[in-house]
Amino acid sequence: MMFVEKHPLLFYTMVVVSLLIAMLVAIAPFAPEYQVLRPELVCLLVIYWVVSVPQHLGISFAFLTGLVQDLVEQSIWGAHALALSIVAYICVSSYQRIKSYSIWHQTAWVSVLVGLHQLVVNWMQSLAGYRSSTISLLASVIISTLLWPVLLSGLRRLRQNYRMI
Amino acid sequence: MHSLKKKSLDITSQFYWVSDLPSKAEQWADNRLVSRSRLLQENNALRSENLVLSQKILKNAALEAENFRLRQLLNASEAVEDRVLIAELIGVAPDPQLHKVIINRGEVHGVYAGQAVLDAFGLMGQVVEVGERYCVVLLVTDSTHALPVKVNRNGVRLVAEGVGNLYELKLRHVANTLDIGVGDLLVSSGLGGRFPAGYPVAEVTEVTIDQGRAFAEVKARPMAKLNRSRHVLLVFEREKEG
Repeated sequence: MMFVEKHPLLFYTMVVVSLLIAMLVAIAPFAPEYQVLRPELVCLLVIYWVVSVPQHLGISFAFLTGLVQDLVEQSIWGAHALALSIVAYICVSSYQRIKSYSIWHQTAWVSVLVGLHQLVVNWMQSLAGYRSSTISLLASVIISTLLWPVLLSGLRRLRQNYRMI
Repeated sequence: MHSLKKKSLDITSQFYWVSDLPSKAEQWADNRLVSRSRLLQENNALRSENLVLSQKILKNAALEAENFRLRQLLNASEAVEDRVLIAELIGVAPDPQLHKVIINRGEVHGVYAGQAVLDAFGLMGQVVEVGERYCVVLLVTDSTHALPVKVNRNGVRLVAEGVGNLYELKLRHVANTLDIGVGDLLVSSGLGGRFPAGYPVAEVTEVTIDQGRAFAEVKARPMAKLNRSRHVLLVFEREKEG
C-alpha cells in the first residue's frame, strides 16, 4: 500500500507545505536584474506530485494551485490555472512513461512542460497588455529545468528518510 | 464576488508579509546595531536638512497667504492641505511587466479604490484593489495606466501613459508645435477627478519632433522613486473621506 493511502492527512500536508514554500519563492523580492532567474517552482512541484500520485492529484489539483498562484502573484486570474491544467493533463496521460525515464531524459521532458507553461502564461498575460521578452521566458525555463534533478533527488531523499513513500 | 476578492487579497497578502520578514529583520538589526558616530553623523545631516526645509516653509507661508488673497480675488475655493496617511510597502508583484505593489493599509484605515499614492518625490500611482488590511497599488509606469498631467511652466494639459518601464512615461498626442522642452516638470492636473491636482509626476527627458508624423514623441522620467521608496503616502480627497 502506498503512503498516500495509509496516511492521507500527512501526505496532503506535505503537498500543501511544499506548495506554500513554492509560492513564497514565486513572490520573494528579487532585484530587477535577477528577476529572470526566478525558477517556476510551483510548476515543477505540480509536475512532481501529479506524476508521483496521478490517481489522487490531477488536473483539478493543478487548476486550484494555479488559481492560488494567480491570486498571489496579482496576475490575470486563470493564467497560471490554465497553464498548470494543461501541464497536469500531459502528466496524467503520460506519467507511466515519465516515471520510467532516466533522470536526464526526464529533465529534458520537464523543460518542454515548463516551456509550455511559460508560453501559456505569457499568452494570457499578453492578452491583458503585459508581454515579457522571449529571453526572460527562456531564462526561467532553463533555470527551472536545471532545478528539476535537484528537486527530484531532494524530495526523494526526504520521503525516504521519513518513510513517506 | 466583491467580498471574495477582498478576502483573497487579505489572504494572499500574508505571503508578501512573510516574504518581507527578512528585510524587516534587517531594518530591526540596523536600528539596534548602529554605531554612535554614524548616529551623530545622521543627526547632523537631518539637522541641516531641517534647517533648509524650515527656511523653505518660511517663504512658503508668505506665498500661501498671497495665494489665498489672490484666490479670494478670483472667488475661487481655497486650496486646503490634503490629509495623508503613511503606509509601508510590503511586497512587489513578481512579474517584471506588472507594476503593482502591495502596501500595509486597507479598508480599516479608510483606504478606497482610486486613491492617489505618493512618495516624498512625486506621484506613484493609485489604489486598485482594497482588502481589509492591505491594498494593491498600480504604479504610473504600468502599461495599462495613464494619467492627466499639465506642464508646470505653462499649464498645457497632456496625458502621460506608462510603457512598462520604471524610468519612463510617454506623453500622448503632443502637437509638433507645442511649447515643451527637456527639463519641464509635469504635475498632475486633477482632470478626471482621480488624482489631486498639483503633485509632481515626471520630468521631460526627451522631445523628438518629426515633421513627417502627426505628433511629437515626448518621453518623461517619473519623479517618484518607484523602485526605491518603502514609505508611501495615501492622499485623502476631502469629499470622499471617511
